[in-house]
Amino acid sequence: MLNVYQTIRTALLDLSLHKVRTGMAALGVMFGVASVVSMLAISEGAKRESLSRIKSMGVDNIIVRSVQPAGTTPTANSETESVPYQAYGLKARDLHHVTKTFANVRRTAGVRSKRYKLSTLQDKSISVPVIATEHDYLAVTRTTILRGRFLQPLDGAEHRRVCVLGRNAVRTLFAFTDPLRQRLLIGGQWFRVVGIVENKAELTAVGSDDLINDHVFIPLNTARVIFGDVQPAQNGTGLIHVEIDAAIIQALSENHVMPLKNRLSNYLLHTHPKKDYEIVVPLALLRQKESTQKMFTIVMSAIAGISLLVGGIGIMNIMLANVSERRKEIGMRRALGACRRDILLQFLVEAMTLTGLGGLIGIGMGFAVAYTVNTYARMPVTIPLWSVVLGLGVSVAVGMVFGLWPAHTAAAVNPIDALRSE
Amino acid sequence: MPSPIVELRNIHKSYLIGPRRLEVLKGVSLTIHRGDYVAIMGPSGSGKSSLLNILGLLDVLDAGQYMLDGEDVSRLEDVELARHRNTKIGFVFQTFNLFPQYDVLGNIEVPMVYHSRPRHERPDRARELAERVGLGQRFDHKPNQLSGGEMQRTAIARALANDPQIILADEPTGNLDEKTGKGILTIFDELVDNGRTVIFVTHAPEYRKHVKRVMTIHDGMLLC
Ligand SMILES: Nc1ncnc2c1ncn2[C@@H]1O[C@H](COP(=O)(O)OP(=O)(O)OP(=O)(O)O)[C@@H](O)[C@H]1O
Ligand SMILES: [Mg+2]
Repeated sequence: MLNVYQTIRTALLDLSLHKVRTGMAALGVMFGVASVVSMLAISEGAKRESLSRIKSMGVDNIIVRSVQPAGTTPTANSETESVPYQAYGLKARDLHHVTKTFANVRRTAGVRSKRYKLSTLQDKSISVPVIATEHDYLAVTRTTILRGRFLQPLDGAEHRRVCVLGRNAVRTLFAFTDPLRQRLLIGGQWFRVVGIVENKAELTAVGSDDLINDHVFIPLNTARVIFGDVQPAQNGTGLIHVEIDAAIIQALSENHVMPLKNRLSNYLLHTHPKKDYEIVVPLALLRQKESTQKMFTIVMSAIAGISLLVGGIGIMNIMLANVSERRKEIGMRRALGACRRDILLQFLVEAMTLTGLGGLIGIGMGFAVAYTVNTYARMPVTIPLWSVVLGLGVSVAVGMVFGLWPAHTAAAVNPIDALRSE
Repeated sequence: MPSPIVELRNIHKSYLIGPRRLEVLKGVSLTIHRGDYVAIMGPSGSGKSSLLNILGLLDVLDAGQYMLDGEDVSRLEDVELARHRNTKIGFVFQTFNLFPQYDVLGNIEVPMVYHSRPRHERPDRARELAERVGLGQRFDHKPNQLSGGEMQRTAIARALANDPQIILADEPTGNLDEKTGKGILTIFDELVDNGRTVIFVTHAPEYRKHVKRVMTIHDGMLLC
């Protein structure tokens, strides 16, 4: 049995007769494999990122956001006040109704988020994102308690001034002291720290750009009583009145998400004719994203397939040229004891070595493309191991498929004719 | 009397050229014994190469019988023919037909690759053969770095790779000057002395006295 290493070494030696021509022939396969590897890296990276962003909202959750109705701004009511004013968005009673009467709902949590300048007793004053929310926030976001406790229903009901710190917020606010039972100045009011929580999945908080772990949590009701529901409009002039920025509504299970969504939009359609809300269904986004990804993958595979096909035809071409140029060598090998199958295998291995080598270089090029895209286009990329295996396997397979005919031609060479030709 | 190593009985060979059939060998019969030293002579186009190709199992005969070393090889499968060419016959050509991509040792190793000789033995065997034909200083030369005589020595060493009983050579000195040709003949002499059978085609009359037997072929027929 011929040794694989030896066989490939011989194939390389044979191919070395026409280095440039052979190299050019392998370019097609090289680019084909490079595009396979880099496209997979980009699509896999994009998939991971967008999916993780969607999953961070929770696939059994529905999120309802308060939004300013399109094309409206706070307007002055000339009879009563002169300051422009607008009320919109979800009301506390909407959420209460959903929680109490919708059968598909497991839990809900209203959310209000805002950045505040926070001060500790040590006189630190740092801008920290704050979420005003309810007890079930912990469960719907799959956050866990590290120390102390989370917000309790009574905290809101009794307007207690207590707060809970996310793991990262502890680090920014209390570097050297034990935060538990410490006092914290939030929006001009003192709150007492009662617990520390951690979101292991490092999720981004709904209604915020920061991680859950970065936040300080206070009871929603306390926030509404102390700070009120009215605040200056963020862009432009006037005041806006919003009770809840967003509500996270957790369905009983993934299967209940779509029925719940239908009931929810029906209910909001009647109670909020001004369309001052927006329903986000992470599960639907996920499904949509997955099917977009599938399309992308199909299109990319088609492109890679075509370049590999063209590359394969190039290989076939060069191998045919090789065979007709080396007829004399083939004849001599036959004279020295090679049977037809030996000749067939020799040329097949040469073609496979050629494309395999092209494939290896292509994989390297694919890595380079992925790296470049990652560094300069700031796109996330992931190179799965199977894509490397696939790239190499496909390139060797291209050599085998497209090398078969030339190898057959070589095996069919009549040794006498070949040796007679000068 | 030693047993015949080659026995041809009434061999016919013809080629189709367009619609016409050209008879190249018209009933050749011959017997060659182990240790024979044979020169085949005859005018150009008389069928010397055709006969040698049939002896070397490179070409198939149309009619007749070929007994090689006691075995009927007239109608064998490709794999069987290849095995015989590989182990029983060593072929040497006028134009050397070396592999340009391999060096001297690499060329000599080729027949061993098609034989089941263990791989680690090949370089030593190739070196030994190269030394035997006087190429001790040229192991790593590629064919284009060799003189004509050195190329033919390499080709002979390659033909001897699997220690065949018969050496067939088609005008082995045809491309060499007289002195170099003599050197090649000297190698053949040694092979015959060692019990091998050497059959070669030549146009040079001075080799008539050199060999044990001369066969003259004329228009596809053997004149003995
Ligand atoms: N494959 C072939 N097809 C057709 N005709 C052939 C073929 N091979 C040989 N011939 C013819 O057969 C005849 C004998 O050829 P062969 O090569 O045996 O001659 P030769 O004795 O070796 O001549 P030379 O001394 O010139 O080498 C020639 O007339 C040649 O044209
Ligand atoms: Mg001839």
